[in-house]
Amino acid sequence: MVVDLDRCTGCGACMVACAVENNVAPAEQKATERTGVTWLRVYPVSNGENFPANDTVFIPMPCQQCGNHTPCVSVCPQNAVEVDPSTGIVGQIPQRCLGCRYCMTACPYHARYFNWWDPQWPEGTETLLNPDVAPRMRGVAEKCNFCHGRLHAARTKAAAAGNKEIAAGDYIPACVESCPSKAIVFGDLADETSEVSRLSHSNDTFQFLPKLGTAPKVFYHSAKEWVRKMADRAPLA
Amino acid sequence: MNITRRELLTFAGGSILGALFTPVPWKLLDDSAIWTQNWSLIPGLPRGPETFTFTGCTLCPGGCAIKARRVNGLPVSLVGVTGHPVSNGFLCPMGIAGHHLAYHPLRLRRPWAFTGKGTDSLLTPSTLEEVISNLAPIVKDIQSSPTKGTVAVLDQRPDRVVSDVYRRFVSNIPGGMYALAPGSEDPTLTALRSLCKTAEGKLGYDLENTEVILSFGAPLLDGWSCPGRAVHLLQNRIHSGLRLIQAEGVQSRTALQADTWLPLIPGTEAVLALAIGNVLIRERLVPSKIEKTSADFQTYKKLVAKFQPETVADICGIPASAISETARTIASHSSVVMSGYNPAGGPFDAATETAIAGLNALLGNIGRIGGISLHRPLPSGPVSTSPAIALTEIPDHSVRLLLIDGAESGHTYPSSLLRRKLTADGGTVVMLSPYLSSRSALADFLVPSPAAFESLEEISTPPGAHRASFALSLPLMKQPDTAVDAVTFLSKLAGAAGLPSLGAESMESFLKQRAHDIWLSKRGTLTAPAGTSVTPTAEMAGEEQLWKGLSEGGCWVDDVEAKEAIPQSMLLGTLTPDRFDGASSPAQHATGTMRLIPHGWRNATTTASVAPVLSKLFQESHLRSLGGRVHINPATLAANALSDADIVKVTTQSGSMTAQVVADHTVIPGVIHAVVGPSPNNTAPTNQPEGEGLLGLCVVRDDGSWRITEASIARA
Repeated sequence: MVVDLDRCTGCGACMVACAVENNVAPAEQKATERTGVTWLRVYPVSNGENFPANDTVFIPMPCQQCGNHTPCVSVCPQNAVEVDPSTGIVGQIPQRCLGCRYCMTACPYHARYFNWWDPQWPEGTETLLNPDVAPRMRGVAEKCNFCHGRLHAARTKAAAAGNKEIAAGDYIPACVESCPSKAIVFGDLADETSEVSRLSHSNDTFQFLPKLGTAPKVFYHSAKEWVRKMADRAPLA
Repeated sequence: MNITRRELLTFAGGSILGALFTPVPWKLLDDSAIWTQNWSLIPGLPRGPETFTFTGCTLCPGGCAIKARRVNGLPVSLVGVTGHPVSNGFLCPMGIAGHHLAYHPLRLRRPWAFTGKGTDSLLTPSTLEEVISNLAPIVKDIQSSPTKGTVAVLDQRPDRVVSDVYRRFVSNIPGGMYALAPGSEDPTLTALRSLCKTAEGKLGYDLENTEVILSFGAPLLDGWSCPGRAVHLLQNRIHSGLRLIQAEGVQSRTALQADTWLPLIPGTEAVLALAIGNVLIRERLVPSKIEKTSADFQTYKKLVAKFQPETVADICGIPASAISETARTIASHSSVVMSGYNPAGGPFDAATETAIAGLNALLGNIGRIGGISLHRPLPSGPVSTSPAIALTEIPDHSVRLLLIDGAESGHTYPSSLLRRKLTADGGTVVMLSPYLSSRSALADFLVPSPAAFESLEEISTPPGAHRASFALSLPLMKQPDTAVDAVTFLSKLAGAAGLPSLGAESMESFLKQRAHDIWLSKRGTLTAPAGTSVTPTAEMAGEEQLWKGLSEGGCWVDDVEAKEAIPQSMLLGTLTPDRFDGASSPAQHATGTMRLIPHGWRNATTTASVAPVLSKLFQESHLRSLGGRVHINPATLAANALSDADIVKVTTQSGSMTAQVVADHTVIPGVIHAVVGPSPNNTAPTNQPEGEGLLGLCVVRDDGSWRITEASIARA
């Protein structure tokens, strides 16, 4: 995934589309930005200057799908986190999760969330939930998995057609689909001919906290130097 | 074989030790997490056949096209339609979760009546028959004694077929008025219409051919008009060369993405507009014919002579060179100048709107390709003779029965704006709405109308569009039996009050009539739902083909008339230059007080207008601010010995209110940026509507504007 931060307007469509797609429940009354569940969170980040020299960038931060020494995998005592070798996507298995939250502590991107409360939707809304994604229970951690339900559906469709590979366009995460600015590009990084691979190697494209050596599979792009420099610093939250 | 006690203990100990090296303990830990769940609270998922339906969003007049994924007939996800001729694939966060609104905790599931007035009023259950039986005598009494007050209908989304039904209804009542709610029309185009009274047709922005947009705070990238249009154009400007100059006193999302941001001091928009006018005239950048066609050119020229960029630079906070450069840029390209209707702050005052709109007239933009287009309205049969007036044009204390339509414009306004129109006894207010919103507090009767995606509705031309369009919003779920649409309600009320029939008595018949009128006009084309085919109306076999196409989610758009026609227009209209007296004097703008500016996000100004899952933006992250917070520049906070997260008391002429401070570098010093927004989680069913929050502190001026109010803050 490559996110063009210069195009992102911070509208929040990706966050809402993600929550609707993945059956993430509305906030409990006491939930805050620290205890809420947002598989994809958009952080408004300022350059710290005062008006009118101030500049703000909106940073969509899903799970970075770390490709090297994936921190959440190595600390999970339950094997509830697994990296799919065929896609490189880091999956979370809530039924195995013990709720120890080691993974949340280990994640340098603050991209993991804990269900502090039972998921509750307003009465009647459960009939409008996505049938492809099971709601998670209280006491387990969860995170972005690049819309696994959509990947599964695309694989099923390809299999039904007798194909081993899913067709381009059949698998697009909800955030990518909903972005009105087309700021998020998604595809196979391993395919050197793909748009996402080309963008990941373009100028001004960077990863967050590269010094940790986690090899995130989410790349960001910005022509603004202060934004690129910020990527080397502390986590956003 | 004898087993000794020692052997037994050794075996048991060994077993326990061995078990630790098996998956059993892990499995137990794993299962304990599952066993301790409260499974009754984990919802079951819908099962059934999967289908897709193309429809349209009716949450605001933008009318974005939607592709709905349905399971067992119910919608489970909504996405925009790529390639749609009007919305360009865009769908805002409210629209994405729009299907959840049907089950909003603040949903009205039956008619309600307020008993008592003011703070002592209580919501009590009622029935449609009771509501009608209470209203019919009032209508009859108004007919017999029109001097005691009349009936007014407030339409928040004009130009629909139901709008004409409203106009027919009031035309049957002596003195009946059909009024447009604030925010239902683009303020610049409204001002322009009064400047060029001879202009025929509808006015719109020809943004597709525009090279430069000068925006005075229009939220172009944050919900303006049909949001997908501006977003599509501005995000593709690297190819088109379109430029955006945003003059605004807050570094908004649009200002962040603008090519040039002019950090204008709020309240000086008219000064900047007149200073630009000064440069245009001084440097002879105005088309020569404007001097001849504008009756008040000399008056305007004399007025703007006082607004030299050098003398007003400090007033507006914009360097003189930037003012001159802006004037030259908009004069040397096809451009439009627009003001922004803030979803909570409303329009600028009348003088400012005229000064901004007048720049379009001065540049000869009206009727010019890439400027302000003159386009034909939606084809329709005979329209009611009852005129549409602005809410502000209704005489104060003249309305005895006020009917408020439930279709939202996405904008809000202070309730005092409505209260002053009611008769001295408070009148009677009936509100058609799917939800118990902050505005419900005004009503005496609440009539539940269908929520979005529950009934067949129309998607009419969005405000500011450069050509007419028409589509249907097809229902995705069944509406509650108690929901009443406007046509049914009006028909019943007209019948009970002895008024003439309104004609066809169902929404579908009215919509079919509209499609019939379009087909008769032979204008425009019908684009198939996914943009797969485009069929000219003139080539259709019959009106059934058009209706079928619309019923499948197609969108009809009018042809663009490629002609230039510059009408005669004024530059100031009825506004006299003395309205700007002192505006060019720095002393006039030197106030020691702070200014309260309400700010909202379109269609998200009340809790009832957003689905609870929008808590992701408002509560579970810092992306959008919750209602009731005030954003203030850190320098201003320091000057007032305040800091971030403090609870402060905000005081204006209208009263006081406590609010939480957010230190915000994007806000200009000296301004209290008051958030009028939802609290998505504060949705416990209640018998009291939520208050209007900080909007209630705004002072409404005589011209109906409430954008800026002098205020003070102190630690609570």
